[in-house]
Order: sequence, then structure tokens, then C-alpha cells
Amino acid sequence: MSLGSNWGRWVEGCSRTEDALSVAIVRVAIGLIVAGHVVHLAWSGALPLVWFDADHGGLRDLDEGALRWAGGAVPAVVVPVCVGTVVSALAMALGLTRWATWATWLGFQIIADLNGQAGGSYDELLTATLFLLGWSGAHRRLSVLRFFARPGSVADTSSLACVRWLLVLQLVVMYTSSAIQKVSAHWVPWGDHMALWYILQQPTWQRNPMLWVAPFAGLTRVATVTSWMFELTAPLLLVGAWFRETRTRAGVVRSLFNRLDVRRLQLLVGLGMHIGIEATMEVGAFSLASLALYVACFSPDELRRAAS
Amino acid sequence: MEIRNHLIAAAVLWHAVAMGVDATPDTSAGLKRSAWKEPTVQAEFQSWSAMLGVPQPELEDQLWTFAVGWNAARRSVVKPFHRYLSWAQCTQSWQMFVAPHTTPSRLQIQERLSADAAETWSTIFEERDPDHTWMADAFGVERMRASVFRWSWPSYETSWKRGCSALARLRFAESQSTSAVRCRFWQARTPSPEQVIRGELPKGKWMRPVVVERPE
Repeated sequence: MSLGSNWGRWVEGCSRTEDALSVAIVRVAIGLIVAGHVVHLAWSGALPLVWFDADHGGLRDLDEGALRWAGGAVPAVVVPVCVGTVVSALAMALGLTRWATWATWLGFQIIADLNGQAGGSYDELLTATLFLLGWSGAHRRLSVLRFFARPGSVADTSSLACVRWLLVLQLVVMYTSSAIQKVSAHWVPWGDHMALWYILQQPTWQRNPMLWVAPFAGLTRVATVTSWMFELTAPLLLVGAWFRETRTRAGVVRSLFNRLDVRRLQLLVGLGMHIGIEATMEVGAFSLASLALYVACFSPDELRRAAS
Repeated sequence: MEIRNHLIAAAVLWHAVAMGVDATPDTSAGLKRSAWKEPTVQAEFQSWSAMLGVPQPELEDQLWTFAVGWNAARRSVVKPFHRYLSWAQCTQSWQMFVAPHTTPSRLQIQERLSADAAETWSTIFEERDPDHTWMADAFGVERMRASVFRWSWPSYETSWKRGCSALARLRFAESQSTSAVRCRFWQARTPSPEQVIRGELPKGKWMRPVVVERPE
């Protein structure tokens, strides 16, 4: 097969459109997660400490970044940006316009970048997801504007399918990259499998003291190996989702993947891992943002069938 | 085929490749010899040294050389994508719980009251302690936890001191009787499950105290 024909197939695949239902669900979830995250930070009293400059009650001198031109990380600037981000995130969840997604992407990156010592991987996951959603047609489905549409009017509900696949790829890249960097002797299968035991005992991340887990330490060892293997084999999720979507095509490997339903297995293990993380640790919006992307692994047809 | 479709296909390919390249391990954060002296890092070297049968100093030197070389090679590969990824806010740094902390630190904040002739310190906050909960809601959110986690490392000494000063200012503003605030870390090796069951908890020590006096 020539390079030209390969490129032709790639162009054809990338320009294919589908119903926007899957990405719309991701959009609603991510909008609510961003809004909830910023509101929670303000409610807890931590917002001034992490996002105001030291001279205005913050913990440290901040990298003012994009706010420098507006007067810096001072309350009169940071608070309106936070309010604007929450409003645009809610507008995005409601599906008002595509621009709400771009406004959320811009606002969230500005505030998240203010303090590099007070953030987590979920900042990157959220901004990368918002960027991709901005290019999708996610705002065309599950939008409140549909309630105000003229009866009988036909709306465009399409979205580029390739954006949904980039969301799946984002999830897979995150897991795989994370796994190959977990090189501690406590993580790797040929080590002592004690990683999760130690992490659960860290005051920084635990929700509550976790010494009571000691009699069940065998479970933390199993969970350590399972998490590491799950993350390392995350590319199987991408392949599994693709084979599921193209299950009518021929191929022994495709047939095997679909018979074992590799995609469902991967998603179930991931779901269990994130539920475990949320129950025992405080890692910000990481688990919710990751789980929101799981929806992208399902085609809109599958979701419609499941709903009906 | 429309030119628009070719542009979309090229953009998707560019984005996917950029993600993959940037997600390769970035070792620059670990290239601090001083941080390698931390007990947790030293314990990792000991474990790998024993597993591989290579003396620890030799292993550290080899790893340093590899990490420096890898970093230089990675930087040149990532460079063409760097501006795009930074602009799009799609950088792919996924270092999550790379190596669990085996000698974690627990933040404690204390105050000294001006009326206290004995000048004793009383605890107002301690991480995960239900009896000392000053600003516990704020300390409970992940962004604050991330800051506190970094403060416990020697390389964040400046942030640690600034942070304690900021917390002291808050305490002075809400409690006129507070004459000084002390921030410090309790550091102890995490016990094994067997030690916990036997009730043998390792001894720890107070680390890196910072005292902030109320300004005149």
C-alpha cells in the first residue's frame, strides 16, 4: 500500500463525522468538574493562599503569567478570572456555545498556571481535554438551547469523530506515561509491591489515617500490581475501543479482542482503581476528570442503545 | 478531497505525535544530587542496587550519566512540538506517585501566646489530626496538600519559609493574643504492615522548624 493511499485513508478517517453525544457527555462532565473545583477551592478558604501573590495573603510569590498585564495575581484580578472561569464552565456544561468551552480553557489555564507548586496532573488533564473539546461539536448535543429551538427545526448535531479518538488517546497516553515512570522498587512487579501501602500512609494524600489497613496489606499489594499493569497496558484500551467500533471488519485479533471485550475489562479495572483512589485519597479533580474521558471510549450509537 | 480535510488530518497527526513525544519521561526534575540524598531516594537506590547486584555509588553515577544524556536527547526531540504544546496547554507531564515516600512528613503549626509566661507552644494544626484543626478545610484541598508536600523537601526551603510567614500573618490577624507561630514537620519512617500489627511504630523526629514572631 502506497504512502498516498495511506494518507488518503487517514484524511478520510479524520474527516468522518458522527453524532456529538459522546463528546457532549464529556463536555457536561468536564464543565461541572471545573466549576465545582474552583468553587470548592474558594469555599474551603484555600483560594487566596494558593492563587494570590504573597503580598496579598498568598503562600508565595507567584508566576503572574498572563495576569501580569492586568495587574498581577492580586484579588481584584484573580477573583474576576475565577468567577469568569466558573461561569464559562457552567455555560459549557449547559452547552450554550463552543466559545464557553474556549473561555473555560483560557480561564482555567490562567489560574492553574499561577502557582506551579499548588497543582496536580489534573490541571494538565483538564486543560488538554478542554482544548480538544473546543474543536469538537460537543456543544451541539445536550444543550439547553435545544429547548428554545423552533419546533420541527433540524439542528446540526455532528462532531468530528477524530476529536473523540484524540480524547481516548489522551487518556491512554496519560496512563501509559505514568506507568513507565513508576520505576520505584515498590511499584514494579519484581519488587516488593508495597507502593500503595506507603502512599496510603502519606499524610499529604490520605483522606484519613490508614494504619488500620495493616491486616489487609495483601490487598494493597494486589492493588499495586493491578494498578501498574492496568496503566502500562492502557494502549489495549485504545485498540479495544477501535476494534469494538469496527467489529464488523475481519481479523483474528479484532475478533479475539471483541470476544474478550478488552475495552470493558480495561474500563472496569480503571473504574475500580479510581473509586479506590477517591475513597482513600485526596487527589483533586484527577479521578473525576479521568472517568469523564471514559465516556469517549463509547461511540454515540452505543450510548444511545444503552440509554434506550 | 477538500483542502480542509487534509488540514484536519495533518492537525490530528501533529497533535497525536506531539502528545506521544512529550509524554516520554522527563528526568530534569530528578537531576538534583541534593535531592538524591533524601532518605526515600536513598532507600530506592538501595533496593535497586540489591536487585541488580551493582554497588550503590556506581549505580547512582551510571543513572546520573544516563539521565543527563536522555534528557538532552529528549529535549531535542520535543523542541519542535514544545511551543505548540505550551500554547495549547497540552503538555504531557504524567509523573504521578513515581516513588512512594517511605519517610513522609507531617505538617504541624503551633502558636505561643503573649500572656503565657512559660512561653510554651500549643498546637493549632496538624495534618490529619482531628484535635488540631485550624484552617483544616483549606489544608484539606489538594492544591494546599501539594504545596505542603513540596515544603517538606529541602529544595523548597524558600517557599517553606514564605508559606509559614503567610500562615503566621493569618493567625496574627485572627488572634491578638498570639505572639509567635512555629511551623515544623514530623518525619518518621512508614512502618511495615507487620510492625503496625505488632504495635512497633518507628521513632521520628521534628524537622526544619520555622518560627515567625509577631511584628512590633
